[in-house]
Amino acid sequence: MIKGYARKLLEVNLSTREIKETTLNDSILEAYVGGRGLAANILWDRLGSKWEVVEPLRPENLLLFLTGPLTGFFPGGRICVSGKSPQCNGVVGSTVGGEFGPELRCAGYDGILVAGESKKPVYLFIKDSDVEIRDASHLWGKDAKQTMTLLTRECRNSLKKRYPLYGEWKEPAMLYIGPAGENRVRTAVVAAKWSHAAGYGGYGAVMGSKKLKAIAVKGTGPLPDVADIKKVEKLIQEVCDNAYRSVLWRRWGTGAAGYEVGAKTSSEPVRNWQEEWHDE
Amino acid sequence: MEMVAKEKNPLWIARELARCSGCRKCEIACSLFHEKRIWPEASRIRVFMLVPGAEFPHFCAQCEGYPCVEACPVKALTVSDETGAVLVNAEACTACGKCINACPGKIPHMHPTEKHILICDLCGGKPQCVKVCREGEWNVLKKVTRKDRAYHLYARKPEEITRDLCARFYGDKGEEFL
Repeated sequence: MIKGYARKLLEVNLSTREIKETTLNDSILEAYVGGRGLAANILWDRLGSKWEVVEPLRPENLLLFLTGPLTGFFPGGRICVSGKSPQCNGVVGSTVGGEFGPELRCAGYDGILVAGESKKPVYLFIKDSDVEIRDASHLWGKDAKQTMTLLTRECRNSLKKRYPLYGEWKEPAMLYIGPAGENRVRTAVVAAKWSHAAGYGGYGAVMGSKKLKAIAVKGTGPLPDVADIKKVEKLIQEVCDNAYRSVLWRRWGTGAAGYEVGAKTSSEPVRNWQEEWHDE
Repeated sequence: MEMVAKEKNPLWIARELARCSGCRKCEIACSLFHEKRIWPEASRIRVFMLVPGAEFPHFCAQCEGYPCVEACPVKALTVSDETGAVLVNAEACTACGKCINACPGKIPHMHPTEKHILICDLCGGKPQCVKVCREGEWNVLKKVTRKDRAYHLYARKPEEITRDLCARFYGDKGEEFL
């Protein structure tokens, strides 16, 4: 059995409100690893024969949220959003950082597949293997901060009510869309926290077309078994040491590349790539 | 248990919560040390992020008087002579949750799968969370010698800490994010 995976995919059909778990094949995981690769494989399997006729904003399109084998082991925290893109009619792997990836893995899934289309606005609440499709009419039309605030409060209250002896519950991790996604703008993002977004491909519009406002996930399990935990510890340590030593990344983050490369090669994206520099 | 008299070395973890970036390295270090695997929810130190941007670690402050130890009906909690930490006897603990209610900050929480409570034991004098936090130079946590101070003031509910951090970061607007 292949290590480092939960080997489970959560399938949610919003039309029939059916929720099931499918096991991912070892050979497929080995060949396609996870994230974008796995997304391409799943889309090929399920939509490959009718790819031409699948409309990205119709219920037949699939929306995938997939992690990889390294998600959750310290430096890796990203989750890949994929499906047939409304921007280009192709497959785009759009990734977003934040707690969602690790929480999903702690809940015991490698990914979520959303199919169909709901009649009313809904959100998905996942607490380990308890998966619920909940009404989200009160969240429809709300922007990022309002959605986060309302949903965090609601989810924590329901967890507290269900497990009164647990103690304080941490907040669930969330992916959500704002008004742009709800109105199916083809550049809408799937967002996490306040300012982190899976921006490529316009998957916010796909989420909006499925009337799925948000996904909140709380996982209480451990990350999947690994073959050699000592080596993983060493790997984490090495990657962190490397990152801690780099003054450039610590100080400027990814903005450093834009400045360094942009200024030196005279390729700053000024006025949407129309100019090369500001006059001042 | 060895009956060798150990050196008394009461310590405390000083905390500068506003510096926390929410990297959760402390959770990983804690669960690796105690559970031998990466398990954020079974970590004794937990990073809350009720409002994005206002992340902070939430863990035992070892208040003087130890209300959780007092409240335990089966004497599963004891205070370590060596470090001053609260030690949990996992076999004796019945998971009744009385220590959570006794704690001024509602800090203890249940083990996700086993039936016992989780409280910071200071890793027997070498706190792993402090080590990784200082390695990364976030410097939220710092190991200091335990003195006779009002440590119970640091045991606060996540909502209260979030409210203060929000007021500090976002000003008057901070209130509405809660």
